[in-house]
Amino acid sequence: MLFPTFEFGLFFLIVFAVSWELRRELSLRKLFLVAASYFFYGWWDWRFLALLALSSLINFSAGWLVGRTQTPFSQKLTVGVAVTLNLCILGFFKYYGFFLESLDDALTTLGLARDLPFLHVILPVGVSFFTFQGISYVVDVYRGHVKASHSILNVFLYISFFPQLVAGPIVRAAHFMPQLDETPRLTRAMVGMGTVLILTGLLKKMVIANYLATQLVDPIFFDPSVRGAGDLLIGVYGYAVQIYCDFSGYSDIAIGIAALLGYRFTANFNQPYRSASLQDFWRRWHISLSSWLRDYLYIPLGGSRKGSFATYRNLFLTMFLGGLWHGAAWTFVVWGTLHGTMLGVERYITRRLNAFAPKDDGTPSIIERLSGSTMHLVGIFWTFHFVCLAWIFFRAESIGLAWDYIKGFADWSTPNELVTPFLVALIALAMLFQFTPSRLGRWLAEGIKEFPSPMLGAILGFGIFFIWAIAPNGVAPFIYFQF
Amino acid sequence: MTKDQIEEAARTTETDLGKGAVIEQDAILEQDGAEVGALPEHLEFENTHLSEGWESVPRSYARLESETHRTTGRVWRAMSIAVLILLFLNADRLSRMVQSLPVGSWADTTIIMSETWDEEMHKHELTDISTTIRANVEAFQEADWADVQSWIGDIFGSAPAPETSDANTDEPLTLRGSTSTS
Repeated sequence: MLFPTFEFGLFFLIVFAVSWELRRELSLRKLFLVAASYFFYGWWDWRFLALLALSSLINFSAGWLVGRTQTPFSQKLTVGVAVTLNLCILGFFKYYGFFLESLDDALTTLGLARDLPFLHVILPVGVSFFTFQGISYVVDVYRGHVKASHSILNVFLYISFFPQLVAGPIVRAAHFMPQLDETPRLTRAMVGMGTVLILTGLLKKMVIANYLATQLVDPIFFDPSVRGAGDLLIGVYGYAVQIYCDFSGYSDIAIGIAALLGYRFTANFNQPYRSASLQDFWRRWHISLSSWLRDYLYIPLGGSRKGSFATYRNLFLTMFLGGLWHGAAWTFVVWGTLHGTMLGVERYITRRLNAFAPKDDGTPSIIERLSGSTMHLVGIFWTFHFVCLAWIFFRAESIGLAWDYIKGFADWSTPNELVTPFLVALIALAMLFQFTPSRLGRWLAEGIKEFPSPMLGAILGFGIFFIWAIAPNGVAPFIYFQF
Repeated sequence: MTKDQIEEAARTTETDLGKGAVIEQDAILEQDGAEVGALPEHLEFENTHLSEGWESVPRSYARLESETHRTTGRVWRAMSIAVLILLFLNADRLSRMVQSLPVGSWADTTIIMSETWDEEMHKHELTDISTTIRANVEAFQEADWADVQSWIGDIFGSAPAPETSDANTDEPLTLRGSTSTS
């Protein structure tokens, strides 16, 4: 069940009405939301409902055990077992086929070919997201960031809550679980923000992302070797905008829907293409994943506390595994490797430059002195183009096609067929909103929250009508569903 | 005292005394539901201090409960209006969307109803707005750079229309390749 569909509209109207009617019966409300979330998930494939329940049960039990046991060793052991089980679920469904195929290729190359136990494993939608949320719960309980829940409903709802179930944002237990014990509230501010987020999310996904996908990105990435450099350039810009609008559009709708049901999620994107460095980019892109990787992988590995070598190694490993998290393919490995390497290079260069002008005497460092508007623009230009280069590997079906794409930039003789005003305007419009004031959405929400219900209804009705009218026919799945 | 009564008391207080009065006073209700009025002074909210059969809630609780009640009603009304707008103006899209419903008697009925509704909306020309918008979008999709130059020239009245353009000024956007498909 995709967000911009008739089925979901009907589903949400029912969930909204019933959940607010049940607001005084907290347990009943949570039970209803769990049932609704399982219905939402089962709409894709009911066979994986058991997997979702099993994952929730494992994490509830582990949290409960961590809360009960007093000795650090037992707690660590429980956390270790729970994390391993979560990773086993993820590993089997997501990486089993990839691992065997890679092993088969390696053995064949070495002349040691064997019959390997290949299985046709279907990837459950959202498995990467709900296993990471499960790990977040157990680790947060262990760290004392959240109390072990005695209510199995709370854990089931935390892991399966339908707005974020299939493509995030990855909600933290310490942030979400306490909300489940409070009486749900719906304020005018939440409605204002929810309305703005849902409408902007629909516009991003249904109009910008869908047009760019069907008219530009898919044809170019299908066979980049027959395209000229101009088409390839606009193709990769188009993909940068498409994946942003697709994923941040989903996140916006998810956060907006959660707000209308009385729950607060944190932002998942913050105008990432205005970043002046790669480090800044990762503070603005898929914030819930990058902060998850920082807190549950980078810091446990030692972060930057164990010397320079360990810091660079940890940065690299975090991004490498972050790349692999996105999918079981070598293209994602290259994407993660590129980001991990460049984060290390950027850190090294920044430190070396800062060493020329230490800040001890209170004077600004050389980086600060150079970071005037010109250097800032250079930083934005460089970061955006590096990110675009890495997107080529992220989007390409294989390393070979990605390489064809990069080689194509040398060919400026082939005529450009896809550099049309319509596509250029879509890309320019999306990029323009990367540089608007970051509080623009809040300002709009502040205005909308004061509107009476007929005006709010008119905004919603005419807004959705307009989006539908200008959007292409059909609804393409969100890109991050495959992860 | 039930939560319904608390909420009702909060609404009554607000209606009688104006917005914000609920913040100043706390409604106290008898357990059997008979309203005895709002006490003028601030109360301690530990129930142990009250005699059996009396309960109280923090002011913030009553205020938030009241706001939640009003806001859910507001959203519900807004969503109803939005659905009506979509039913009237976007009947053709809705009739296409329901085609994807799973096969079954319920889906068949919905599809037949939506098609009938769409025909009615066509008869009353309510679908013309979306048709015009889509025609403009399609024209823009098929436009090339010469068309855009011509279009800009038409707007500012300076640049001559390029020879390649066969723009029809009666069409939306007046762009080459403009189609008016629905």
